[in-house]
Amino acid sequence: MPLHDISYQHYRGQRLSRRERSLALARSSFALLLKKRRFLILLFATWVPALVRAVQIYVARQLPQTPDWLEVGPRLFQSFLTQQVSPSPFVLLVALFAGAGAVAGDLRSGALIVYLSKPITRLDYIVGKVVPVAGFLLAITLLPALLLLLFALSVASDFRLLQEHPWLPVSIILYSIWVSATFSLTVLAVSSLTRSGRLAAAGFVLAALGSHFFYLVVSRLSFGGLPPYLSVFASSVHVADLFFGGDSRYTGSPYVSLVTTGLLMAGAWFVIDRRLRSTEVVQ
Amino acid sequence: MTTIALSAVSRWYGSVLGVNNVELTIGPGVTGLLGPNGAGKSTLMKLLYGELRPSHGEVRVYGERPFANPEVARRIGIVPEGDSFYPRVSGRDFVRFLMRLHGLDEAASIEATSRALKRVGLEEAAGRAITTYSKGMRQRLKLAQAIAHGPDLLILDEPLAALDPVGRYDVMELIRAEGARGATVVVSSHILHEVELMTREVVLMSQGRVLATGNVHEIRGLIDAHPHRVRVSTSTPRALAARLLEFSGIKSVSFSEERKEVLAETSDPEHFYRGLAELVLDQGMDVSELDSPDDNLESVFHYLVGT
Repeated sequence: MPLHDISYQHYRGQRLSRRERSLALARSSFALLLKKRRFLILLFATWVPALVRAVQIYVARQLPQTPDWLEVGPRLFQSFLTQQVSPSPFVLLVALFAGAGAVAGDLRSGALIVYLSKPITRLDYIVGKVVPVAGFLLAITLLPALLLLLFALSVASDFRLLQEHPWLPVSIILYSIWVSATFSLTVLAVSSLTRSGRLAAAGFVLAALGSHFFYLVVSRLSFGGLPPYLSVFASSVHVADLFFGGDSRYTGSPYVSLVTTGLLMAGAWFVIDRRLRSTEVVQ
Repeated sequence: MTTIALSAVSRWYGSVLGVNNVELTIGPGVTGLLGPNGAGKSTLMKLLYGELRPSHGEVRVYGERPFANPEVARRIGIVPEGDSFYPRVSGRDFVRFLMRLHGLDEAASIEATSRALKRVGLEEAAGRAITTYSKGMRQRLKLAQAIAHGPDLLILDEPLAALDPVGRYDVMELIRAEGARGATVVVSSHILHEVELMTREVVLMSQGRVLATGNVHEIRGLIDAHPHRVRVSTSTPRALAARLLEFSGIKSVSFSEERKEVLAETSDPEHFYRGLAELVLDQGMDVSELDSPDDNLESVFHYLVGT
């Protein structure tokens, strides 16, 4: 294979903005994930609860007298979103699938060195990695929740739901973003600690389920009086009380859970950033 | 014109010293970075393209600090030492994606990718997954992503590794061409004769220090305190050996009647060559060939590192 001499050319066209370069990184991850059949099957599975909720909304609208548990209101949307986090494993699984190998794979393949030698910053890289994970998490939380809201409005043929709860769309959006950011940053932080995607997945599961199991055991021993701050799942579910204003099933303030998950995100960001700064040590 | 300037640069990895108090300037053209494994070549290169920040001192590339500096990164192309790609994507997709990270729009990234792959001879294999590539093809792919955006500075860590002889020749040609068109090319290798074929400008490193910089012959001047070996082919080796022993600075002389040659070691090469010329011109001593085994990078390096 001979090398062909082609006259040297500088690129003189318009360069993409930094944000677009981050999105190029994100797009590449999106494309790779969407090629995986198992991931697509998982994504479809995560929508089953939304279909069940749609049936619930339809049935509730048909009944002249709606029982409390069938009522279409903020509690239904809170319940749907928190169930995606816990007890169903969907948020965990999608975060695992999309994020566990994201940074670990770049470290293992050595691609991280090449990426960071390009005119992108660590921030661009982190954003480029967070966007696909958070994007898929939003696709199983925010998107179905908003579609359920539209469905509820369409079958009701009036806007009473929004008139009575005008903040409901904002609650859905903010809570979905909060949960997606929490889980995507956490899984990426774990991913950045190893060069093996499988090890990262195991570490993430261990951290998430382990903390939850620990919380459940201690809570049982203390006769249910323990606030949920020890568990990522329970804290994330507890935060929903703040956004939707529902009655809490947990003791303690949801504000503390908000701070706890916020600190978790900040810590995760710090870990990722530190690991990217020390790529030579990782290598 | 100076592309790269390092001033009292040191870099530690914990308690391990990667590079030690390096003072160095590099301008356009090809510069060879030579040294054994662990000499600090890769660390120096990482400092140049901004993967590492110096623990002490200052690195300037085009007048700016390269660490986490996208403006500098825009002008640089690198070939890292190890593999640096996802094996399941195609070579074309890999390079095109990196061009997107460089900020090229879709059409420009496709064009730049195609041009670079053609230039390294990977055009036909571009659509295949990288996992099917040979080591040499992977090396060419790394080179393609380094040159695709037309960088002003190329930092190539062992770019000839894993290439077959023809591949080595082709890549050396490419590196020479990049240097000739005005780019600054820093190329590391431990295959010294190949570096010598690419450039006469070298930086010799050992144990994190820069031992010497400049033209190979200039470096040779620095080591004149060491014995300089000269091989002389002659029809009268015994007679010539006897005359050479009279020269000042001669450390040793040996000869072989079979091979018809004399091997001399001198600490004063200038006097040696002048005296030998006088022997030939004034006294009719037969000398058919003159060769200095030291006048290549390998021996210069070994002299300097004392191996």
